[in-house]
Amino acid sequence: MRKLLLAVMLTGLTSTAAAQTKIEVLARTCNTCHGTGGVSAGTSMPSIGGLPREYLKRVMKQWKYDERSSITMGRIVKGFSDDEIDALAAYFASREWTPTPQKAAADALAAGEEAVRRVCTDCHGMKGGDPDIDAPPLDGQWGKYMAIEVEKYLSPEFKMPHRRMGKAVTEVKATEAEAAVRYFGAQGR
Amino acid sequence: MGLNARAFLAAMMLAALLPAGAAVAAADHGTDGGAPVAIPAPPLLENERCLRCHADQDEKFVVRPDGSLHNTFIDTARLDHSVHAKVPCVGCHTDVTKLPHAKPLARSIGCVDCHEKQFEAASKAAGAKLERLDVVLRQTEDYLHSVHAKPSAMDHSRVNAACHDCHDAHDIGKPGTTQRAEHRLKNPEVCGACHEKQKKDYLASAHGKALVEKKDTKTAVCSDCHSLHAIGPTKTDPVRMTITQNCGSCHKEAEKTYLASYHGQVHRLGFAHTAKCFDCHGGHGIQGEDDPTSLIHANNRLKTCETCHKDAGPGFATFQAHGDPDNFEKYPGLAVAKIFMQALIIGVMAFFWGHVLLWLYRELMDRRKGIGHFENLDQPETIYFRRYSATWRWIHTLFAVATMVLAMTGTTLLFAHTDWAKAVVSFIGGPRVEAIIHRTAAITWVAIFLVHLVLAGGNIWRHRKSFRWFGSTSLLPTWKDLRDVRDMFRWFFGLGPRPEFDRWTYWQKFDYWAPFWGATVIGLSGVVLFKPEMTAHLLPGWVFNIATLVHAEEALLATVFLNTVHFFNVHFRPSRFPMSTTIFTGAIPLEEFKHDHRIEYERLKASGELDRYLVKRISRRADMLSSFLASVLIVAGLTLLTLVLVGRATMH
Repeated sequence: MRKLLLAVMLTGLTSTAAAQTKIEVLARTCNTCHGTGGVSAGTSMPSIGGLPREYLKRVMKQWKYDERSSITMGRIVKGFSDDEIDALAAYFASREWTPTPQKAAADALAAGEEAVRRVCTDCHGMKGGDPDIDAPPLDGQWGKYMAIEVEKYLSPEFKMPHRRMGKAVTEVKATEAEAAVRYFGAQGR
Repeated sequence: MGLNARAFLAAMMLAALLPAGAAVAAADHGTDGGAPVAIPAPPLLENERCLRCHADQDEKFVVRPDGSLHNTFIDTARLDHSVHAKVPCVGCHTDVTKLPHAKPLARSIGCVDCHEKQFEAASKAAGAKLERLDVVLRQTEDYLHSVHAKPSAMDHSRVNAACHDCHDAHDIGKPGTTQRAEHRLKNPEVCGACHEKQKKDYLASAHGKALVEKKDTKTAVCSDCHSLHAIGPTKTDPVRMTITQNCGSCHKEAEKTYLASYHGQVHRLGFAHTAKCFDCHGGHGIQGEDDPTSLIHANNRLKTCETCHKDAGPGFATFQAHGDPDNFEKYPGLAVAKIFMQALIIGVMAFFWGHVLLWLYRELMDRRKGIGHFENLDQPETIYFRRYSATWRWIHTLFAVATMVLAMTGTTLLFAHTDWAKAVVSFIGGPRVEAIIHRTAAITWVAIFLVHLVLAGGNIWRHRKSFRWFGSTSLLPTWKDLRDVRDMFRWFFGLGPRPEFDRWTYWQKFDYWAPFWGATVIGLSGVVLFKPEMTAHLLPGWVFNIATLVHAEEALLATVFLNTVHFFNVHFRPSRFPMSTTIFTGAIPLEEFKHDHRIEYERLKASGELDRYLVKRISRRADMLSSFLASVLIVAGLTLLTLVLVGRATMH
């Protein structure tokens, strides 16, 4: 009897340890592209460590269920169960956001600041570091990635479900969007 | 840093330092009746920035953390026409200091604080028109003392209902606008959001149907009865009183007749434990009289009365709760009763007030000429005539006190609109105590009356062999009385001598017989009203209406008659002024007796019986005591008269 109890307890302990291990293992798939701990090495690949949990969950599920267009992510997340997606979202959300400030020319920054103030700041915060509850931080995010995202939102072929973001990208000129992306990319904490 | 950027930074810092509330207080609210105060300070966040999300037609709702949908949409067309059109979003939503803002927002919008500041600022401005601001401030005050401003029982961190729970602050119309009218129609929905049962009952009621089906904007909505901001628990007296008054603001005729009824009189005295409108008609589920579910429908009426009058007889169902003696068409019996009683009052008072004035004139004229009865100071009177036995003196005193108590307590109801009536009833402990006092005095009064009948009957029986019904000592009216009236008027006009009287003058006989009529009218109507439940088993309901009317009118007649005519005849005529204490001491100075009752004096003197009635002068203490008693009763009577006259003059 005692042995049985011990076995049950040990099983419990090992399964907890296994769960801990499993998320690290699962995250390895992500780390391959998004960097260790979700801090990307650049430039078209976004950092994901420290993004809001709800945001991560939402976009991954949108890819999984074909509500959001993608080149790569849609194929990858289909391999994860919803629970695994939730676990991954929680894991990356628990990491600290690590901005990667990128250099930019002063005039580009000034133009970017102007565009951000006009269109972006109400959801992402003035420097991208104080976002709304359902928006990602953009301070020190990779500029190239952000430019591609803007392009996706502008492209009619791409299914991008965030209605307000879709509206916002139409409110800036291409040059302004580019400047805004540079401005956000240049921010650090 | 460029100049522009520096200026921008400075502006931002300044804006951050300024409390947003103050910015609003300084804003121009000329549209609300207040004077323009100052140039509006630029808001911390422009409205356009808020409206980018909140005026988004395609995304009106957000999902709250608890999964519920919350409407965050602002209709700018309506906002632009609201009284707050010029107030920036962050003027009220002071917790929004940056975008994106925290979600959900704190619910503490400082309406009260802002309106107070606005009032203060506007009061200082020259030529300020504060009429509307004053209304807002008064209603704010009412709200702060209302049950809505108290902490919620379920969540003490919140009040029962905050301003924005009832007012859609983004859509408050100016007085007289369509927005206002629409808000009024929405009233049951707004209140019904919390008060669900009441809303359901209301929507099925006559008021609710008129509102929903007929779009009748004049029908009563919640706030018409419950008031706008001074909302309180409906079990409390002030709220019950207010609701009743509010019913009357539309149903004016019903209010008038209600206030004239016993229920209404108690209500006017400031007491709520009497039938209010909604006790009989129902509250939220009120229906018209013809509706079979109505509490006042013929089939349900008795049951409704039984909620208060436990053993209500069938007569209750036919009581005309809103009977109006001025409406002959509808209430002919009541109208005739009123006309009769008023004719009686006017007739009696016209005759006797004329009698009083003429008597006063004649006696003053005679006294100037030295005619009449004068006190001889050189030979103070030592011989008195014993006119009343102790029994009759006691009967008179008790009767007088009982009558005054009855009049005092009764007229508080009749003149319930006066401050004195409210003060008197409050002083004695409310209408319940008053009813007990009135009924006790009534029983005393009737008992004295009956005892007197027994004594008088016994007296006649003992002297049955020698008693002459129309003899010189009888109180029955004789032809001589009629002649005396004629001669008295002749004397008034200087056409003849003052007539000589036997034991009882005609005005004394009138004073004696008047209570017989009064006892019949007041007594019978009083009995009817004394035990309404019992009466209603024997008599139809309209008897209550007639009884209430004649009881009051007769009481009024008696009170005014006794305290003017009787007081003059006995106390205030110049030869008696300031008072006669005969009824208290039983003894009248012989000389005065000779003057007023010469026939009896002569008769007794001739028969040799006079000595039997002569007494010595009463003791000084007895004299003072009787003077004191007479003074108290006279002052009480005159006070009562004043109060009654004030009540009658201010009645409407």
